[in-house]
Amino acid sequence: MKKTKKLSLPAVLFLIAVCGTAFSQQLKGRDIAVLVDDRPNGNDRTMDMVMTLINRSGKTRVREMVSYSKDYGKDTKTLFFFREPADVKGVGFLTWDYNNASRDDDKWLYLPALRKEKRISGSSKNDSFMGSDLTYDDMGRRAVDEDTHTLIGEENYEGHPCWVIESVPEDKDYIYSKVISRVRKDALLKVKGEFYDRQGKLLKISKVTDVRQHSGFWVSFRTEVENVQDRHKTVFEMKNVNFDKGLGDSFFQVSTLKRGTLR
Amino acid sequence: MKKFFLLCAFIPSLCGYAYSDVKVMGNADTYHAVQVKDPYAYMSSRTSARVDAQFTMDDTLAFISIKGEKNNVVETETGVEVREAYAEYVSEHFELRGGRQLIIWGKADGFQITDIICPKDYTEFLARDFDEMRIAVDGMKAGINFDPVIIQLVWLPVFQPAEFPGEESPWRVEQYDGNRLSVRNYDACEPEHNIKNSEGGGRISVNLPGIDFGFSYFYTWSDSPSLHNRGLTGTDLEADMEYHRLSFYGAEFSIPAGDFVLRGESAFYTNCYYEQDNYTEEPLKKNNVKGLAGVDWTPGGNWTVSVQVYEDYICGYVKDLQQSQNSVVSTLRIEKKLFREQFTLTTMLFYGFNDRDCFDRTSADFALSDALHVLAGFDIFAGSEDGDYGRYSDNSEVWGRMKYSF
Repeated sequence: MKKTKKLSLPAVLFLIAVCGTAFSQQLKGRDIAVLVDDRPNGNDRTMDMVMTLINRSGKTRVREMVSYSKDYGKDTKTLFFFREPADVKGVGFLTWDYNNASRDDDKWLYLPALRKEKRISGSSKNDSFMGSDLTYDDMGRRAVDEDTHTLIGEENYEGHPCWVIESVPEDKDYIYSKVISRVRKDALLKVKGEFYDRQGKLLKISKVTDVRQHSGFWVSFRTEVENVQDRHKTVFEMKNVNFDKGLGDSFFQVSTLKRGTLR
Repeated sequence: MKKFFLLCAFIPSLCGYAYSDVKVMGNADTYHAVQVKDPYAYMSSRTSARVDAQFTMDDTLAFISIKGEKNNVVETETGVEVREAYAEYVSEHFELRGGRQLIIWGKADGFQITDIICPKDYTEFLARDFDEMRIAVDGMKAGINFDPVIIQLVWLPVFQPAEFPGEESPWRVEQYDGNRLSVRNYDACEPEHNIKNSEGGGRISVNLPGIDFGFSYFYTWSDSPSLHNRGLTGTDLEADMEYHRLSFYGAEFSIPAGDFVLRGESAFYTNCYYEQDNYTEEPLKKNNVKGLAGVDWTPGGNWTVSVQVYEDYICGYVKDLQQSQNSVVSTLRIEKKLFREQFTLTTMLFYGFNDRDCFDRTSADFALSDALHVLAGFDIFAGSEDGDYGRYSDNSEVWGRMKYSF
């Protein structure tokens, strides 16, 4: 098993604290994006996620899933199964997410009705994730160099010092023309994002409304994403978050997905 | 033997274990189809309920699925059945499942190349969902997982035939020029239930970055019988029905490439029986090769497009056979999801190149809620009446369905 090359949380905080303003002034947009990408979050993670979709008239639809992920250096393997609603209960996804932007991710889908797992294309990243306000690409881990990052300012957001980063995709056909993010300096987490469509109009706003340290790691426990153009909102809530449970490599394989359930 | 396997599934509950996890799910489903030409008869009219329960404790699991159906068109389909019932043990590298279960191999959609372990229910031809057409088999399945390699071994001690439309079904096809088929040994034609007649095989599959591939072998019985010792008595074609042993060697692969997934599957079959043009003649035994190549394309925007080409080739062909030496069928499936995946439009077309006939099923699926889906659609059969699809040209239909999942 490859060892993660991430900095430990104390090391990162030490660097920021010691270097202070001087350090911050030398940082460029890409440096901050790398820090966010390398933010310590354990070697493996398990969590329950509740996704509440709210339409413009306030009607809600709820999706619940259980998620497992493990880092392999810069690459990540993730396995998740839907628990609710009934029409997608038991649907499973396995993804091997590669940091190398030129390499297609490996993805498999398990459909319980068909009792069958199948390979799916790694590139329908811009489609909505299960009807939510985030795309599959938003949900995954976007490689740092898929965007050009510029530090455009610093400000306090919700009482916390933040960097303001503008990220412009290298791919001019990408669904966003730019994303402006507020990154909390102490947590190295994007706590607010403004997503602009191809025409340059504001499309979505994401806000992390519950950030806490858990087991020594910063976690976004609650995130709201609103599509301001069609006034649809999705609330993501994380529960039962665990780090470094020692998940085995064999867990992130098709054989687990084929069973159609986790035990 | 069947009772033994069903009992296997219930042993944990009989022992009164306290399960760490119990999940109950299922659905209620009503489906009605009407012919689109005179006499506008009901082609299907059925309502069913299915309850699945899963009991988990440590590394063991018991699963049972019971389905009840009221069928107003094919009365023989009315009843309650144990659709699946099995017990299972799973460890990191080994798993064992015993009981009535669905076992699905292969990469093809809508074709049986290596996916023949579970026989199919053709009582409504292809006008049921693929997952509803599979008939569970009683048996044992062992899995050995040393990722990325998965080895699966299957043993089926009890023969399970496919199901075909009965005399009352609008999907029954008259094949003998108006002569009524009279089977002499109808009640005794299935292979006896003994260990000598059991079926078995294995599959090895490998899942690597950028490619999945696998190989399989299965020693089995034909799911449909052939007719022997034929003779015409008045307007009756008298014959003995017989199931035959056959086996296949299969291979399959799946490769992602950008927006596409390329997949293929092939199998070499031994001992298949084919009807002759003269239906009073005995069927002939031949080997056969089936193959399929397919592409799935996901261009974004919640579109999915799949194309498949399927070929069925008879080795050692003689011109008296009813089936062509080389039969080619192509499929096109297009799906579009709209309104945050609450509305799904799907069409799937089968086109037979030999007889220039086709079958298209188009449907609209609207999720009134996450639990309740309302569906409507049509099935069109067209082309030569000699073809596998065109022969149902009188059965083109419109249909409606409601399905509640819990």
